[in-house]
Amino acid sequence: MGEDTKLSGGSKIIILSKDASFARAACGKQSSYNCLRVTSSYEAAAEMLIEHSLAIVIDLRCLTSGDLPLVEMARQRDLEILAVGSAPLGVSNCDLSGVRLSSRESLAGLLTTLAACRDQTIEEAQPPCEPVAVSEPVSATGQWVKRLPLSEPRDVELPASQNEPEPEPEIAEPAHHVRNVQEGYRPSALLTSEEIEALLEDGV
Amino acid sequence: MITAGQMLVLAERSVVDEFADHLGSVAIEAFDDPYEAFAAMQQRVWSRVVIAASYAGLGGLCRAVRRLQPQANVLVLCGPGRESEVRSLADGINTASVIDDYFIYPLTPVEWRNLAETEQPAVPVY
Repeated sequence: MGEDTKLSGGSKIIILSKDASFARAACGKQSSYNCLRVTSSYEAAAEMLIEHSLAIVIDLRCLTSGDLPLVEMARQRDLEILAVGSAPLGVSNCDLSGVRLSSRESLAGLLTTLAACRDQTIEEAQPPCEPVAVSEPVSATGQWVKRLPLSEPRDVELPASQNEPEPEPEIAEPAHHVRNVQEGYRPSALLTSEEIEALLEDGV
Repeated sequence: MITAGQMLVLAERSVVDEFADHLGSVAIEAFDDPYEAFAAMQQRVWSRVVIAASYAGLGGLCRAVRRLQPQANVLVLCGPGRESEVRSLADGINTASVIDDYFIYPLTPVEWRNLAETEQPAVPVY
């Protein structure tokens, strides 16, 4: 199958190219991701199916119109698709929709950024390992106040306006907004049938 | 003998029809599009995968199949003109063999019988 350009690091980046130097340039000297070079779109598809990948880099010199299902497959799997070169014959710009074109020189930097974003997302998704230290409560004026134990009754009397929950102000929402909330976002729901008819009569 | 759902055939319609005639239509799962076949290979393990050599990029296709189905018996059907290319995939020159065996198309009755066998490897046709 393909050759591992790097064996350590994070997620896998599939590089579809028949040029080994292309893969070396793409991987650079970073170790935050693994590069796996494959020479055929079929192998790239198999790698995509076997294990979730961070991105796929396509050397457009080896892409043909018959390989477009690979691009579609990558799109469906929410992979970042990077391409280097110009669109080959038989492949239109529309076929490459969603593909980020890059230069060979900037590819390594782009992949490093992608890997860093991935790491940041993972860290944000994980709960904090240690409980966050809670600071002492601060009064409204900004002075430190004594914290009371939970068992002690609290005699602090709040003003009447703070004791009773304030009634929420009634804000009359526009009728079309209410319809959007109830029916979900549908452009046709923005106008009533009477309004649509009136617009059509005006020839809009 | 091969039973239902054990053999995946990746070939054009005419070849698939011939497989259905010899092995029965329920015995095989046939695909014309490699990417659709990959999706089926991702779902489960197949005993045998037969690939027609008519696809462009046959080497890459066979490597992809081997990657997805490492335990399967991978066979290629080819015409006499492509035998040397296919043999290199079976022999594994400079690398591990990608396919287990190959058949020269059209198959003889003996070869059809061998193809239907699941336990024993098919008899190579050299």
